[in-house]
Amino acid sequence: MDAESEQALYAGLAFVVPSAILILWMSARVFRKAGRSGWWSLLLFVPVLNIAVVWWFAFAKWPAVEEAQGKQIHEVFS
Amino acid sequence: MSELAGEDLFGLLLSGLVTSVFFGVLFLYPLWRSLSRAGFKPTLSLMVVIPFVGYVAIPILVGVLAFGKWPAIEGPAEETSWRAFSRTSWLSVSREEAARNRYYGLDGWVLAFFALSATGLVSYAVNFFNPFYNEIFQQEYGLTSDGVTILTLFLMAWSSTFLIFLPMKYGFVPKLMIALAWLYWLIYFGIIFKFGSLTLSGTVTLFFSPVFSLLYTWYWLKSKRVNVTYLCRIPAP
Repeated sequence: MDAESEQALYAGLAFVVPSAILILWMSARVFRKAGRSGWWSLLLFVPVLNIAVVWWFAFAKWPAVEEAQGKQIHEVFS
Repeated sequence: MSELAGEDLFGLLLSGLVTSVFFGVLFLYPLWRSLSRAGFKPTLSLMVVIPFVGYVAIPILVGVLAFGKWPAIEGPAEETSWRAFSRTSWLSVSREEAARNRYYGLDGWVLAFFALSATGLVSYAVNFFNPFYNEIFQQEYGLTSDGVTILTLFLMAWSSTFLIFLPMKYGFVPKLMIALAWLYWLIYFGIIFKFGSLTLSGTVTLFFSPVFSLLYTWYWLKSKRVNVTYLCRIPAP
């Protein structure tokens, strides 16, 4: 690899690595807020499967939300 | 930019439009459903089909889900409504009492600013030693090599101030952040005019800079998290 393409690689990495960490962290927060494991966000880095994960998440059970809404209903009746 | 003829510009707009629609079809419905299940207004997801805005819409909406309080979990919708956010009456309390409030602490959007500064600092630090990045920035902003070095150093110092001051829960922090938000563009364009000339990228940045600073000022004045965490005052009932 010549010097110029090596520099281009580092410039790319300097952009890709922080944004990958940011995607991982933000999506892990979303999964955990919904009551799911944060490790699901790792699947977002797999091509094609990432689209499937986004669609799955929209339809899957969200335990944290269900629990919170269950509590709210309970408060109303008690 | 000068050799970009009308046809090329049309092609660029068309490809942007096609990409936006493609992403819209892929992500519009899951985002719509996720936002409404979390208790947000699902119409926010229509952002992804706006040409060009669509590119930043997905990170913004994921940010809303990641750092915003979910109305479906945290309580009724009026807590996060526009009217509640523009409230101006605050109740000063002791630090101990403020710490018991659910808006206290380095979380929410303040945590998002903190994280963006941390990732920014890492990428500026890597780029500081990278001649390739220096060349790109020279072309993009019409800067000299020294100008890029000075700009990168400034951006590193800038990111560091967030990392140092945001975890400090002192009353001066919001004022400092507002002052820095406006000072930023002064120094930024000071460096660009001193060491280069205004290019297309520079003009676009110059156009949007007051918008960013205004939004930022509004957040640091009105946010419940900022008022509870840094100023020890809770929203009056």
